Amino acid sequence: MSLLSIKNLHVTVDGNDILKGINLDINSGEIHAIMGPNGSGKSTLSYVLAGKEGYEVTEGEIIFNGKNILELSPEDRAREGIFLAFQYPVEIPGVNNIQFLRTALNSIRQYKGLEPIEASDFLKLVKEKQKDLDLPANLINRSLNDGFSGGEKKKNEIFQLSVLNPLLAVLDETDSGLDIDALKIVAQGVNRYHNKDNAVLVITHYQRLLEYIVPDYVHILYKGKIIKSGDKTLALELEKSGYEAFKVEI
Amino acid sequence: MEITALKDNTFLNNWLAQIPTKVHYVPDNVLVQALQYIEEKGIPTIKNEQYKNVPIESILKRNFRNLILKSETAEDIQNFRYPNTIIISNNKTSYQLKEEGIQIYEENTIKDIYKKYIGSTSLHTKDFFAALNTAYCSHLSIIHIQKTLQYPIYIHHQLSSHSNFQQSRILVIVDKSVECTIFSEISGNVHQPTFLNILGEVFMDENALINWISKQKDTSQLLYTITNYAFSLAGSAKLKHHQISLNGAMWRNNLNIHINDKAANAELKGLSIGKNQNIISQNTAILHHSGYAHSNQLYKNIADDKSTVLFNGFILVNKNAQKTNAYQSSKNLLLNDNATIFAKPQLEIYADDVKCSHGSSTGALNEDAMFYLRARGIDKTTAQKLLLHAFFNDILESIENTHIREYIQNQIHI
Repeated sequence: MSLLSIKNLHVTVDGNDILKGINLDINSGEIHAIMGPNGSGKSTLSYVLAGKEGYEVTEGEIIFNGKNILELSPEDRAREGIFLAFQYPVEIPGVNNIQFLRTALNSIRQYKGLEPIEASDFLKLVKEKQKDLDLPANLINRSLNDGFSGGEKKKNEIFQLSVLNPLLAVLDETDSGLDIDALKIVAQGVNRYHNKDNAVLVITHYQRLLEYIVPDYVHILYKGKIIKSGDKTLALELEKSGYEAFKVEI
Repeated sequence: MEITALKDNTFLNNWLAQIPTKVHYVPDNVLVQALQYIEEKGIPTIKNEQYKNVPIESILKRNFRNLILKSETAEDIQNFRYPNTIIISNNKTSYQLKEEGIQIYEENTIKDIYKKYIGSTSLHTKDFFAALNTAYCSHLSIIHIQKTLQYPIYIHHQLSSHSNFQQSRILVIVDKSVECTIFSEISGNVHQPTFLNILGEVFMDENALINWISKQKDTSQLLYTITNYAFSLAGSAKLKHHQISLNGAMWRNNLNIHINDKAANAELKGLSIGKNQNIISQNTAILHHSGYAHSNQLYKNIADDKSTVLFNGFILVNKNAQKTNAYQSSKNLLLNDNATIFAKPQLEIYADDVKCSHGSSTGALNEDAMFYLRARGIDKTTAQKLLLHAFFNDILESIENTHIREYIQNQIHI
């Protein structure tokens, strides 16, 4: 059974058809990449998975870990194990980064019937992950993303990913706005998180990130449909010939 | 002084006839002014600009046609919770003071030197209820602070469960270079609609410093309160004022700050959280009569359910008040389609070398922030709480006294 199974997914936003019949199966242990030009529906797919309001599913289904998640609230999807690393992480002044993360972790644990994490265990976990991602302590103790640079925000997303340890990580253009050093650190964070029991869905414009997070499968999304799937060589091919070359194949 | 019959206002006449008048401590000219104001203006209607959106007349007619006025017994008053506690009721001031340097007087023990202060901030010529208090409030508490205090003074306005109409008046004098914290609270059990009308005049001598924290909360939803406060600041005096108004049928606060001499400093912060059908109305007036002074206001207002929250902020800079810095900001959050917020900044500037600004913003909770928190597994209610705390926390954090700050934080349930 797939960890994530998307079948014939149609989505409209403000009455516009954005996704027009997506089929995608992701198994535990796999890394998938979705590439596509602007406006192809990449971010819509990530928001639909996370349950953002305003994205109306008109047809199809999303089965995650054996459950139809379309009826679930965003928080319950997160608790089931879906994590969206945001393209634009929201700045929330006044909400402490670490307290937020602890609240999130304990909400997920409670959903699974687990006790809240001990304060000392949590601090240990945070310290370890923070070191991995080269995040300064004063940064993660500030307000959530408040005044963070673009790179720091993306690192903070991967920091949250590594602490919350979900079943599926959806990375929505995590590479945008990153310099090469930050890109490497972020990619290392994702690779450290990834194991045979979880899966990663990388959504990106460019092949660059896929040099560091090596996908098992690459899908090309164009005008709301996956027009071609292949292995990692597809990304290289795409980089060389551009999206134009694939349009004719439709 | 005889109270003359009032023309053309049966309700007001009937009302005033029920209040015993024994106000001996108010100077004659002040009393005459107050009575004239009452007679000329009458109970404010919603046509009155100051009371627009606050239907005070109908609240009074609906709930307070007949006044019930009973005296307290001494046993009711013994809640001395803080080292320096002053408990003010309808007709009595009780106190326990750990520290020296605080003198307390009442209307029957008032010394002549204090009489000149009474009514000198002219509140009674600006607002009907200030005039009503001036002419008809028989009980006066004078608090004279002569030394810098280690502990806060807790002023507890104790509500009676027996009277539906209660008034109190306080006069606070803080001597030169004296520093103190004053925590004012209104509480008590009320079992019937109760109208509370408080007037306070506070005089700060040169270089005095007051941290004044006023907290208002009444879960009975039966208490309708109007406060009129004036702070008069001499040179280099520094006032830090916090107004925290929580759940309650009506809180209407008029806060007037008189900057009377150079280099005085007034920092006003406010937090109002309206729920149910609460009416919370914060009205500030900063009157810069003298220059080189600084005033800063930050009011945060939240309206939920069917509540109405109002902020009217007035700044006056007279032509003598050069080099004034006066800033004002109100941030407003609407949590419900049935709730209402009115925010009105007003600036009148007659001096040419000043820095003044005002700003006001009103909106709902940030949906992107809500989604971000929920996408991490935090439920909607908790996410909303986190964002609300984030919205107002800076107001509470700026309360310097830890004990008072934590006490107030624990009183806020959102």
